[in-house]
Amino acid sequence: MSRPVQATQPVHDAPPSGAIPYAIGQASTVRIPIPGTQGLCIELRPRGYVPPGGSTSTLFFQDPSGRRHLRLDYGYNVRTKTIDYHWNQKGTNTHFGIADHTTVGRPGQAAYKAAKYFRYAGRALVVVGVAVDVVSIVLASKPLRRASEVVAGWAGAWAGCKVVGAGGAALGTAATPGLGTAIGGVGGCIIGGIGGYWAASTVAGEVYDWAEDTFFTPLPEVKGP
Amino acid sequence: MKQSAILVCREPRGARWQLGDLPLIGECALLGWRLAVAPAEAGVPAEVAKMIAGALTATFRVAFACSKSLRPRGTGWIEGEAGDWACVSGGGGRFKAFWRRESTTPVLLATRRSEIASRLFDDPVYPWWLQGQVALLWTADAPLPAAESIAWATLLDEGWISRATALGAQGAVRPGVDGDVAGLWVTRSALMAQLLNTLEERAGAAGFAYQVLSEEAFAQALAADAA
Repeated sequence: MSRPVQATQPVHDAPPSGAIPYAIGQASTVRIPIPGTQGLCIELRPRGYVPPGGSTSTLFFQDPSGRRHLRLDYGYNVRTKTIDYHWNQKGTNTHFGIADHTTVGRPGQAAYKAAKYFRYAGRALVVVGVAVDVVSIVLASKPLRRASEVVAGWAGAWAGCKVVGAGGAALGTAATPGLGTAIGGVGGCIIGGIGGYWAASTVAGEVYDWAEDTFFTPLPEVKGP
Repeated sequence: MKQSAILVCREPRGARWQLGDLPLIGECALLGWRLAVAPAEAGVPAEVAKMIAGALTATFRVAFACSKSLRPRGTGWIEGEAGDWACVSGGGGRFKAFWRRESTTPVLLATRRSEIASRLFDDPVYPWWLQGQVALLWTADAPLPAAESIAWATLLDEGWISRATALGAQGAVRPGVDGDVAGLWVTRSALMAQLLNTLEERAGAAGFAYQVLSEEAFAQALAADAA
């Protein structure tokens, strides 16, 4: 039995896009707001000086100064007299109901490790995303159009991360204050980032095409009455 | 109800306190506190901060990194209302400072005013709770070192006491694990005795008990705070 002959058609290469790595990676760098907490945001880095070896905490909900914070820490816990994973907090108890030195279970350990590695992996993904986008501009037949899409995509990803991330953080807080906040916020940031990148770059491409096809025809001059 | 207390351990040796390399010269002590009602918040309670700052400034001029300041113009130590100010080296390199969002020239404030010194426990840029603060101690008659010789970041590292010694400091205080304890080091036993006597007096005046404990009893007393 002979195989059916398939018609071949030329396929146009889609431009490479850094949308996915960029949108995922930026969740490690953007301050993701937590609604209703008077300025607390999710971050993976502390604010202020820390010893040269770095902080033993990996996940931070903190205000811009870092004075009010809830952070997931690993180390000696003076309350339990053991080395464990625990929360440290200052000024956030009313929002999350988590007291200082509250220990966390296995999900907390997983979140601590995920935040630890995502802090670096996320930045690497942002670099990869930017590099792919720059290559796509260089290879594009209309570099200016592609550049407009890329820049708009980055801005859209940032905005989408902030908006959807905040929503996710609010939902997560309602479900499980602390860990739920982090999962909802970061998850929302990634989803919002991808959606924001795609929407903004699509709109930017359309606007570019519209502007490119628009011609202004001078009207003939006529004498006034 | 438990009584609030200032806890002192004269021979802290355990790595769990995260005080880095402890020296063979001078004397070390670990300070802790227990409140009648266990606090839900991290950091040094205001009344305890006031007590420790008062004891430190009664004996020493206390120099610590301070963000609530006007950056002094000029070089070296500049006299001000709150004390002597100086811009010092960050000590960690420009790229590292940029990456970690840190200043390359932190401002130090050397003071004998206890209400000013108590800021060292609550400065968000040099957070006590993240072990990002250290205070150097000089007696009133001792000269301050050249400002440019101070590399701030190195004082937060393991060898903080040897670096403080190199700067001519007669003592230093830095946060231990999570800022829940304070590590205290001074060069001479007479200074340690004077400082702890003052602390005991101030604790008594504030209605706090003053307890000198073994390392294990100290750990137990901190843990019991939550019970």
